Amino acid sequence: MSEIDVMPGNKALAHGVRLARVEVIPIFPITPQTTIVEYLGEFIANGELDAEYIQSEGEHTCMGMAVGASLAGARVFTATCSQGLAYMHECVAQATSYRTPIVMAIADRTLGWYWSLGPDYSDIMPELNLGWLAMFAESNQECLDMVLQLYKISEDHRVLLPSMLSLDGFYLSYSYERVSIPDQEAVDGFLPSYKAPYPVDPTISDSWPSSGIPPALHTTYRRLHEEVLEDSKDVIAGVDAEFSEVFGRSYGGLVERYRCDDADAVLVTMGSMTTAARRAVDRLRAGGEKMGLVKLRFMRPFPIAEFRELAGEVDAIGVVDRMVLHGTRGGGAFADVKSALYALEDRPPVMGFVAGMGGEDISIDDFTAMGRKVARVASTGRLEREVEWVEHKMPSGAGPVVMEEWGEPIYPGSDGCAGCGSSIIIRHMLKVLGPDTVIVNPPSCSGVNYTGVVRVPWVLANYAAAAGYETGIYRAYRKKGKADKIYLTSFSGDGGTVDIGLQAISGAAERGESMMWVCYDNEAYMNTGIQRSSSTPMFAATTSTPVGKIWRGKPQRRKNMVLIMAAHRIPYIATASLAYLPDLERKIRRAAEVTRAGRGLAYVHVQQPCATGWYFPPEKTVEVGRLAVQTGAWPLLEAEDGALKISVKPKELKPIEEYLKLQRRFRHLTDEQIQTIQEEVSRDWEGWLEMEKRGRLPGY
Amino acid sequence: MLSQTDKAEVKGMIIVRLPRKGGQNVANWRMYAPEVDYEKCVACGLCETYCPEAAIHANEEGKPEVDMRFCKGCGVCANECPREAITMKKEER
Repeated sequence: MSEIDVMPGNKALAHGVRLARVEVIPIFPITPQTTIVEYLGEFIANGELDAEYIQSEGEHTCMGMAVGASLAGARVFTATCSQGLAYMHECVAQATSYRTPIVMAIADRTLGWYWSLGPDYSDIMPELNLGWLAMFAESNQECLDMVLQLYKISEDHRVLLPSMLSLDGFYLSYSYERVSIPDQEAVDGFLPSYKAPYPVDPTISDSWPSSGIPPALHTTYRRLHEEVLEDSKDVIAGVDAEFSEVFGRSYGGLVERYRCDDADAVLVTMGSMTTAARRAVDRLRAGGEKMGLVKLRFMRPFPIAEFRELAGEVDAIGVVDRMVLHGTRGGGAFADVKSALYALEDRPPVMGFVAGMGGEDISIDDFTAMGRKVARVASTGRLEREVEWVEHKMPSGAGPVVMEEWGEPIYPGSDGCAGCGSSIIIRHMLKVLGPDTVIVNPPSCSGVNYTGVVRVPWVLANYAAAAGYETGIYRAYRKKGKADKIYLTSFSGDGGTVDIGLQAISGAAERGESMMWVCYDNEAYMNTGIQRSSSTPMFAATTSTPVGKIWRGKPQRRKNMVLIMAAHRIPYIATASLAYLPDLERKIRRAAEVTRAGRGLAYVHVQQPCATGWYFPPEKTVEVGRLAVQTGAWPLLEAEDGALKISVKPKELKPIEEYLKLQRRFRHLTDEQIQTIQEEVSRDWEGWLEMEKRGRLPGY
Repeated sequence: MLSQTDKAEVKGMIIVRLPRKGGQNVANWRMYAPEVDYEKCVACGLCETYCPEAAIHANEEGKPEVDMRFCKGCGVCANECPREAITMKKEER
């Protein structure tokens, strides 16, 4: 018996993954994908799914984990989008020759360009031609069902290729629809467990997939890969037919035709926009236009035969793209449709539309207007404009409060949460550094909230490369003789420092780039909704370490960044707190002086209590920060050339419970867990005291 | 999100130009509003120091004036005031 519920697309998709009994799930948060893997975490935390759940430190690693687990013979799922998918790119390209039948959900979001959380296919576009199957969902039900279908298609030994399941961010990821959740027994009957033909497992297999062949064979194997993709078309059709028999729902394989009988003209759409396009076609039909719709479900393999057949039936085709192939004047589906039809002697005109970039809504009215244009091309046989851009006026909103006189380095009226601690840090940091300061900021809450109100250049950098951006800026200044005239610092969250950013920071530290790295540490990925980072303290609940019947918070200790940076023997390392602002300002000043003197990288790590993510009332931001210092949870340290000093040394540390009990992320703790945390904190504190007594950090 | 970008003189390019104009009015975020008891206030300045929004500034006596256009009502000022001179009052709407 199936069960009916109302849920967002990300949850429907997670149910599909649960029902597919996926064995390994590497994750890394990115909006609007994150809740998919959060739902999966909840299933596992509560014993509803038995899978390895790996919280990676970046998407590049995440895809590596997926390929590795699949090579070892496991059924693997992961999800990402946008910048995350782009960061995975080289591993995505590798998954095909290793023949790893991973299913990856892409909750589409625009890539680079003008940052937006909204969907277009800029993210999936560069990945389309790497040999994966790429499928686009229109509804939440289709998301769930296609997870099951795609595993069956991908794992079929005639195919044995990874698949991308694209669902439009927001339009599907967060929008609620009625979804039928199939029964586990029926799914088990439809989708048997994965049997890798050549698992990397010497106990059961003497062979394993190889990706290295001599150049002389490359062309041949690329042709064979193309044949496999061609063969997959029959498998896609067959699996859809079998799915329909078991579950009573069919999606039509590579394309779905809607009201195409006797149509003179058709619109071609992909993904969630199709639903609005259907209503536009209904409207045009009601008005007497012979209009139809083709939903492009699989971009790869591309339905060449289906479009050639269609070309013989209609007088014009209009292709709606949420993607631009820059430099070609049009969209990707438009190019592919034209390419498919070119070999035909008699082919109808093809018109392209580019619409909905950055997540802008494409309305029924828009589709109706597009449909009319295509109908006119069909009736006149004349294509006057090959590509049209569907553009809308910017809706007017309230502008900023104009402030003529303002002495602060940051304006009030930001987008930050009430009680946000990071704005306190930014303001006091900039008070010290002054107007000739440049901030490099990997994606984080502060980038979203404060980039619009600071009064110095604030450069948004790609996540893993922020220390690279900063190094590049520093070297340019040095070359131009400006390095002692501009203060250069990061303002990076803990994810951008301790996880995904660490490689580039380590490189900068080792090379002795004379710049500041300021980390504001709110101890989780707050910008994507409170997922654990490797700076999350032990036993804290986050949305990727949820508390359930089985899980009791993050089991691991946090990374010790002071010692990691000390291992690079950099000239200045400090920790600071927003509750101790004179101490913070002094450390920022010292870090600035060290870098201005060209002595190397200065590292300042500031704890930032987060009301939203630590679940305490917003008025407690500073109080929580103060307690962190007074209990020893966040020791204030300073080490110039390795000479360690503890900046604030309470006579006696307060019991850790006083700090923990204010925060709901710790409310599930047992007495035993509190005792463990107390022991860890006391041990660390003793360790710092010993190092201070010794006079220097190890490594100096 | 508050957008303060400008068109550049280079076609298709977007820039940020200093000085910016200011922040947005966030008064409607607020559920509680700070009320200062100027008798109790000793002009220590901690509320101004810790205000996450920079919405508090000292008047001529060194005592806090809250710019209610920018106060989100978080209550950090009241919580940090050593004299309990600030109370958070439910906003009437």
